[in-house]
Amino acid sequence: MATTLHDVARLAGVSAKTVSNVVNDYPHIKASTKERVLQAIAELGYRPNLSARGLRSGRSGVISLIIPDLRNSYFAELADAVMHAADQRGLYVLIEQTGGDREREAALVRGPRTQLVDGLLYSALELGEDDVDLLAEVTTPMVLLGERIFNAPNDHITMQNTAGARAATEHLIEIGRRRIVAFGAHPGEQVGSAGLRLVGYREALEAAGLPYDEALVRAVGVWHRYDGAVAMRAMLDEGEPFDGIVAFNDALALGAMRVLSERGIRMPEEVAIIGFDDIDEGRYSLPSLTTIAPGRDQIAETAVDMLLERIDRRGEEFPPRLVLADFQLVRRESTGASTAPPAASVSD
Amino acid sequence: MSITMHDVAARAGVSIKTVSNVVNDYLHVSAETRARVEAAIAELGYRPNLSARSLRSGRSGVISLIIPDLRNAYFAELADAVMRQARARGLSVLIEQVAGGREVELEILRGPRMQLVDGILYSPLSLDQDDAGLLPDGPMVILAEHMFDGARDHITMANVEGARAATEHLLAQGRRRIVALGTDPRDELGPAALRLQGYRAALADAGIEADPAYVSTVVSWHRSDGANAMREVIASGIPFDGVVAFNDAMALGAMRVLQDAGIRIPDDVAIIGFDDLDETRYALPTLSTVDIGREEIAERAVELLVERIAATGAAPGPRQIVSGFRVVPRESTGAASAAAPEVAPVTTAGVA
Repeated sequence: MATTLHDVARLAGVSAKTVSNVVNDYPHIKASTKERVLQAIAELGYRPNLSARGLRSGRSGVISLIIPDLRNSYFAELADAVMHAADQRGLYVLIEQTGGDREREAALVRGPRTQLVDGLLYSALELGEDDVDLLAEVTTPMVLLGERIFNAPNDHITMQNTAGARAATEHLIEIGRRRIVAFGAHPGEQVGSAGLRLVGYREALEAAGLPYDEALVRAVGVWHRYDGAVAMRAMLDEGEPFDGIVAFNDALALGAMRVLSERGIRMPEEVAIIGFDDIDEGRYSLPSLTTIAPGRDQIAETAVDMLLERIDRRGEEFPPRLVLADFQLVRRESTGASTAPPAASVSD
Repeated sequence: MSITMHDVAARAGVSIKTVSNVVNDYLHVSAETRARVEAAIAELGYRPNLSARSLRSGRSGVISLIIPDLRNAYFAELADAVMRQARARGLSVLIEQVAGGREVELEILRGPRMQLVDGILYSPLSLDQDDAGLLPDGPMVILAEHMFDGARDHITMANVEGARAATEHLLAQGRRRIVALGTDPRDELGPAALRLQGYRAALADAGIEADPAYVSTVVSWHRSDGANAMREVIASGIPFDGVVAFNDAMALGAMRVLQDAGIRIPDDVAIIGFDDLDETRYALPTLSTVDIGREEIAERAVELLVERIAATGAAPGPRQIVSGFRVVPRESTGAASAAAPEVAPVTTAGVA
C-alpha cells in the first residue's frame, strides 16, 4: 500500500499538519523538526505530489502567472519579482506564455486548467473590455495585471500608463523639444498600454500648447527591439523632422537608438529619447536611457498579496479593487542627464 | 459523490482519454470535440485539479525548470524556448530560481516540492561533482557539462570549445593582451571554469603565456558585474587590447565602462561575449558573441526529459548531448558595420 502523510507523521513523531507544512514548504518550521520530517519522508519513500497536497487542503500551493512572453525583458523582470514575492509567501509560480495570441489568452482562463491552481495572475494583451463576461465566469481567484481590461469583476493592479507617458512627454518639452514622436502607437486602440500612453502624450502636448501632429505618431505593432529598429529606419527614410521621441517601452527605444546611432544622429543633442519600463539594459546602453519606472516590484508584491487574500477568503463577496502603482521619471543621458552606470546591481 | 472524468466522458460521448487530453490542454483536439467536453465539464461542475490529474495518471503534466535567475537574460530566453517546447508536448513549466547560494539550491532540489512534478530540467549553479548523491531521484536532465558522475542525462553547451573559439577570434585580429572577464574562484567545474580553460588553451596554442593579472573575477554574471570588473581592470593599469567576457550581459556592462573611459571599441580594445542574446544585435557597437544553440538545447532537453518520464521498465543509460556553437563576429571585434537586423529573431510575438 502506498505510504501516506499519516505514516510519515507517525514515524517523525509529529502531527499530520506539521508534515503538511513541511511538504508545502511553509516558513517558520523549526530546522530540527523539518529535518526529522524530511528524513521520515526519505525512509518511507513517501512521494507527496501536487495531487496529495491539493486533496488534503483543497489547495495546490501553486499560482499561475499568465504573461505574453519572457523574451520581453519587462516580463522577465516582472516574473522574477513575482516569483520572489510568491516565494516569501510559500507559493510556487507556474508561468504560462500566451505569445499575445487571443485564442490562447481566452483558453487559459476559460479552460479547465484554471482549476489546477489556487489562483491566477493574468496579464492579457489581446483580450479587452468586451471580454469581461468571459472573466466573470472564471471561478478561480484571479488578479489582473496590465491595462487591457477595466471594469472586470476582479482585483486589478496597473501601471499609470497615461500619467507616466504624460510625465515622459513633459520631460522632453521641459528640455526644449517641440517635435516629439509618439513611438509605438496602436491606431484605434482605446484601452491597452499603447492607447493609454498615447492619451498621456497628447495631454502633455495640449497642456504646453503644442500641436498634435499625426505625422509624429508612429504605429509599431509589436514592442521588441527589432520592431523599434525597423520603425525608426522607416521614419528616418521618410524624412519627417523631429527632435524628441517618447518610446512606449524601453525595448522599442533601444532598437530605435541603435538605428539613430547608425545614421550618425547624436543623442541627446539632435534627438532626445525616453522609454518606459526601466529595464536593467537601459542603464548600460549608450547613451543610457531615460525612462519611466512603472513600479514593477510594487506591482508584483501587491498582486500576490491581493491574490492570496482572494484565495484565503474564497466564497466571500467583496468588491474588486483597483490599485495604481507609483511611477517615477528616471533621468539618464538620452535626455541630457549625466549618469554613469551604477556600481551596484539593482536588486540581485 | 463527486463527479469523475468518467461522468464527463459519458456526457460528452467521448473517451476518457479525450477528456484527459482536453483537461491537459494537448494540441490536436478538434475545436468541436473540445467544446463538447468543456460543455460537459461545465454542466456537471467537474473540477479536475492537479491532484486528480496526477492521481489518475501518476503524473501532473508539470515539469520543473531550475535556473539561476530570470533577470539574467540568457535564462529568460532559455526559459522562453523551454516553455514553447514543453507546451508543444502538453506540459506546463514550473520555474525555480536558485540564485542565492548553495543552501538555497540544495533546499529547492531536495525539498519536497521537486516531488510534485513529473521531471526536472536542472541548470546547476553552486553544486558540483561531489554533490551527485544529493540529487533527488526521478527523471532529470542536467543542462551543464558532464557533472555528477555522469549518472544523469546531460545537455552540454560547448563551454571549453566556445570560449576557445572566442579567444582565437580575438587572436586572429592581432590581439595579444586579452582579458578574461567573469571567472569565479569558487567554481571549479561550472561554466566559468570551463570557459577559462578554453581561454587558456587558445592562448597556449598561440604561444602566449597566461598572466593571472588578465583574469578578472566577478561575483555573478549580470551587467553590473561586468561593469564593475571592467572598472577594476582599467584601474589596475595593465595594458590590454582584447576582452573575452564569459557572457553577453557582462560584456555589455563592460562595453559601457570602456566607452565612459574614452577607450574605443574595437580600435583600442576588441570585445566578445557568449550567449548571443537578442540585445547584442542592438548594442553600440553590436557585440560579437558565441551562439551556443539555445533553441537546440531547449528542444533536446525537453525531448530527453519526456522520454525519461515515459520510460517504463529498465531505464536507458545516461545520455550526453553536446550542442553546437558558432562564433558570431560583429562590430565589437571589427566586423564590418552592419545595420540592426532585418530579420526578426525566433520568438513569440508580444507587446508590453
